[in-house]
Amino acid sequence: MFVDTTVCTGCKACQVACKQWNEIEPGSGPIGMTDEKAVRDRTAFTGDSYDNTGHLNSYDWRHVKFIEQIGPDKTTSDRTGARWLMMSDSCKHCEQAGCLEVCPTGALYRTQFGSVDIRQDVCIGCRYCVGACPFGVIEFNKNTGRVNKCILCQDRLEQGMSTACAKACPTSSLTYGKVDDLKRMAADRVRALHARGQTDAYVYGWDLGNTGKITAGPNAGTAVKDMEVVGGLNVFYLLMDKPEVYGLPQAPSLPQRNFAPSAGVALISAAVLGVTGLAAFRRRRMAEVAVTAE
Amino acid sequence: MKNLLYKQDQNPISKIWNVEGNKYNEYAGSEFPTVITTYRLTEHHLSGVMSRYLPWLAELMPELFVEVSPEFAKEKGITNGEYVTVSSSRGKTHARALVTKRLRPFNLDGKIVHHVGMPWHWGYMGISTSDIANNTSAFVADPNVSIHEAKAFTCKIEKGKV
Repeated sequence: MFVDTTVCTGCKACQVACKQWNEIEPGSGPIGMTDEKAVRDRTAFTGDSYDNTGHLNSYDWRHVKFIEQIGPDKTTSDRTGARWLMMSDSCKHCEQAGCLEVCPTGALYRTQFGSVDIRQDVCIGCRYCVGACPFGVIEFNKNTGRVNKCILCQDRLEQGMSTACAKACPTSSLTYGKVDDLKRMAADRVRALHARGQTDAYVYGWDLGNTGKITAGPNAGTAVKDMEVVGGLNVFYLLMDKPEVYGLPQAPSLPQRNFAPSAGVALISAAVLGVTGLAAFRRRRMAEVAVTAE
Repeated sequence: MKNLLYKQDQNPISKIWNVEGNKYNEYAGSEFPTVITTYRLTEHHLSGVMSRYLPWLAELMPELFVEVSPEFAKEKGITNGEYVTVSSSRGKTHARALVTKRLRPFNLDGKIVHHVGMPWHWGYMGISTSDIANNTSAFVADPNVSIHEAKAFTCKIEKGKV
C-alpha cells in the first residue's frame, strides 16, 4: 500500500471503513458508545486538532493524524507558511517485521501478499510483539486476551479485492497494489511534486533515490531524502516533513539488533565460566594428588 | 463597524423577523463583538441527524467544539478543551474550546476583531449529543430565496458554562 499524504484531506473515511469491514465493535475505544455515562462524561474529546482517536491500538487499526504547522511555533502570532498536514497511519507490514520475528507461537505470519497477519486462535497473548514493534502499532486487546493490529484486510485480498481503507479513500491517498508498481507510482509522484516546486516530498519506507528540501513549517530548509526503514515497508508513505513530525521514527530498530552483542557476551561469559571451572577442578585434583603423595 | 467598501452596510430588503425568540444582534458598538462562522465536519452528513446515530462516526467527533485562536484564548483565559459559552441576543450554546492557530484575529480599520468557528451538526438526540450551534444564529433571510444567514454572524464568548 502507498500512502500519499499530500492528498489526504483528513476525512477519516478509512478509519470508519476499516472498523466496518473488520467488524470492530464501535465504542470499544476511549468512549464506550453503549455506556450512557461514558457518553455523557465525554472522555473522547482530545482538543488535538480534529484527531479524537489519539493513536493506533487494538480497536483503531487505522488512525488519521492531524499536524498543524502554522508559523514557527505555537506561542507566537506568526502564521507564515501555514500548513495542515494529515496522514493516515496503520501497520506498515515491514519486510523485517519485529513482531513476526519475536512471536513464539507463529500466530503472526507472513501472508502470500507480503503483509503480516495474526492467527487469532494461535495467539497466546504473551505481548512480546507489542514491545518488538518499532512503530507502536500492535496492542493487547483486553477484551479478547490477544493482540490486534491492521491485517491489511487479508480476507479481502484473498478474494482479489483491495483493502477496505483504500476502497473508501476519496482522494486516492491510500492505494493498494503490487509494491513494485506502487514504488514506481511514488517515484512519479515525488518527481511531479518536485517539478511544481514542492521539494519537500520524499518517500518513507523505501529508498527510491529522491532528495529534497522542506519548504515550509518549523523545519523549513532542512534537507530530506528517501529512507529505507527496517528492510523496507510494504505500507510506505510520501511525506512532506521530517518523519518525527508525523510521529514516525527517524531510524527505527528491531529488538534483534541486540542479538549479536548479547550472543557475544554470552559466548565470552561461557568461556570464562568454562576456564574457571577447569581451573577449579585442576586445583582440587592437585590437592588430592598432594594428599595421596603424603 | 463601518463598511469600508460600500456605503450600504446591509441589504435593505433582507428579511428580518425581529420578534420574541428571534432577536437580531445589533452590530454597531454591540455587546457581541466576536465574529463567528459555522461549518460542516466530514464525520457528519447534513445536519447530523443521519450520522450522529452511527457509533463509528460519533466516536470520531464526540462533542461540539468551538475553534478559537490562541490570541483570543489568552485574552479570555480559555484553555484547550475547556467549556465555553457562545451567546447572541437569540440564544446560547455550550461547547468545548479547541484552541488552534488555524483561526486568526482580524485587523479591521485598526481594531482587532476576533473570529471563532463552530460546526453546526449537533443536537439533543443520537449517540453524540451537544448543544446546537444554530441556537445562536438569528433567522434572517436573503430577499431572493430566503436562505438564512446562519453561516456568519456575531456572538459573545464567555469562559465556562454560563
